[in-house]
Amino acid sequence: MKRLEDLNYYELLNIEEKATEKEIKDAYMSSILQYHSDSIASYGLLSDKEKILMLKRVEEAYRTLIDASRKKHYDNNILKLDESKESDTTEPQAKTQTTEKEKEDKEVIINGKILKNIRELKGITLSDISKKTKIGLNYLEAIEEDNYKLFPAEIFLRGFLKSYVKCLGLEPKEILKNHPFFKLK
Amino acid sequence: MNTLYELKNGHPFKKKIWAVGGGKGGTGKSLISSTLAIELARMEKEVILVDADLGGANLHTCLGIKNPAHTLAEFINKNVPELKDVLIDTSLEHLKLLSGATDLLNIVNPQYTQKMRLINHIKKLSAEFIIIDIGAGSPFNVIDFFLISNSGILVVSPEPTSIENAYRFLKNSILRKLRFATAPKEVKKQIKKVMDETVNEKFKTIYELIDLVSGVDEKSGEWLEKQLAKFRPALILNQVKNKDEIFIGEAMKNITKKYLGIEMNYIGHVPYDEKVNQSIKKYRPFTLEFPDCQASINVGLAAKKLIELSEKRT
Repeated sequence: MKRLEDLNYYELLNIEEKATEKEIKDAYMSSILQYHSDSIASYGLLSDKEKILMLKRVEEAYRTLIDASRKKHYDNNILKLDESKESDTTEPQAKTQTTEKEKEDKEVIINGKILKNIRELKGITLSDISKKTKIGLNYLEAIEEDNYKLFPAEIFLRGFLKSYVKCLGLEPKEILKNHPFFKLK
Repeated sequence: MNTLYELKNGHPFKKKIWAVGGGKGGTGKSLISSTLAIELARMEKEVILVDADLGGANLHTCLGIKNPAHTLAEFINKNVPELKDVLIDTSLEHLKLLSGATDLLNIVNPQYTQKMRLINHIKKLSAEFIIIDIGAGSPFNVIDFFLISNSGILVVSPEPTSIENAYRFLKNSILRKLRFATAPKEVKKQIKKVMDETVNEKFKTIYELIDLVSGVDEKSGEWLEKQLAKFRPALILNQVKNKDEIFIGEAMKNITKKYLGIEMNYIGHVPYDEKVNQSIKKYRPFTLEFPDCQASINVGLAAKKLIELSEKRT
């Protein structure tokens, strides 16, 4: 039984060593949801300090695994994975197949609160984003408050959200797919 | 000797006991217990549903029985020698109910001997499935009913209070289980020593407890790890109101594994449905009144998944 401090990056994100880029991204989003400051999933068990520590570890794991060269270095030099095992894709498909219900249970919603959490975790201010993107602070605040009424049309929300997300170093396509406003469309 | 139940299809089968708990009241434990029992009975499994909510028995109402002919009180008062003497029939062919005592104040906090007599007799009941609905809270009197089997079912609603209570319930369950598990004399001595010397707050995770025990005696630590690995409660997320809440079940499973060292089986979620309240007011189980509503469908799926898990274990 592995202790929390002994978990490797894959175990931390609950993914297999041969996880695809999409699976790494989904696992990262899912972990952010679990440990962000307002997450009720960890309520009563983890202190705010523990949540921040966990988010930092998740961030570190994600940055390493999403970058091909850093991942290779981590796999070969830190984890010392057997390369032949790594490239073994003969595992039965059935193991990775999930039912529609299981997929639904694993679905994630990335709303303004969570985005704010990621931004704060990365030490980026709204003013930084405003300066970089030339988007008014009121719109950036509206994104984080899920106040969609402020935007004159959907196209503005989509465009501003994309720019905002890029500043956080996230993939706009992934975020839009999981954003409550666009997800219901 | 095998009873009629145990000789179904000419083959004796292993009895499966599912205890349904979760810490907080109002999360739908009784409704989930009763509907799981109904689903199993509809699959022609022989089921006994036990109302062990000693402070607030109401499973009979969930099954549409307003005035149960017999209750647990008769057994507690020793009017009858066996629990089977107070089982009552329900509207479903394969389902019997052991109705809770609604009129005994002193049973809310039973004496140790009373509780153990009840637990031992529940274990002796003869059916393919025994579903036990336990009370709210995390006192040992409640947890001891949850620990009747290794496959307890935790029912949690997506609210901070329910989740907080569920984690507390899990922590207390594992501590209780470790303290009273059958272990070699020396191992028990070491565990008791560490538990007596440390208050709950001193070890946040069960790993810390194991490390403390291992520090005193390595073999006892290994024994503890093995016991912990055997404890595999199932989790059902109930009363889910929107899509944002669905992920909480998987998230709790992950967090529980990382921080408490407990591997839970996440069974799935049951959506909040106004039809559930409508059926309660009609004294009708919602899976019978509205079999096509999403809540009924999901409880049916949960029952199937729980059966699969039970079969893997046996």
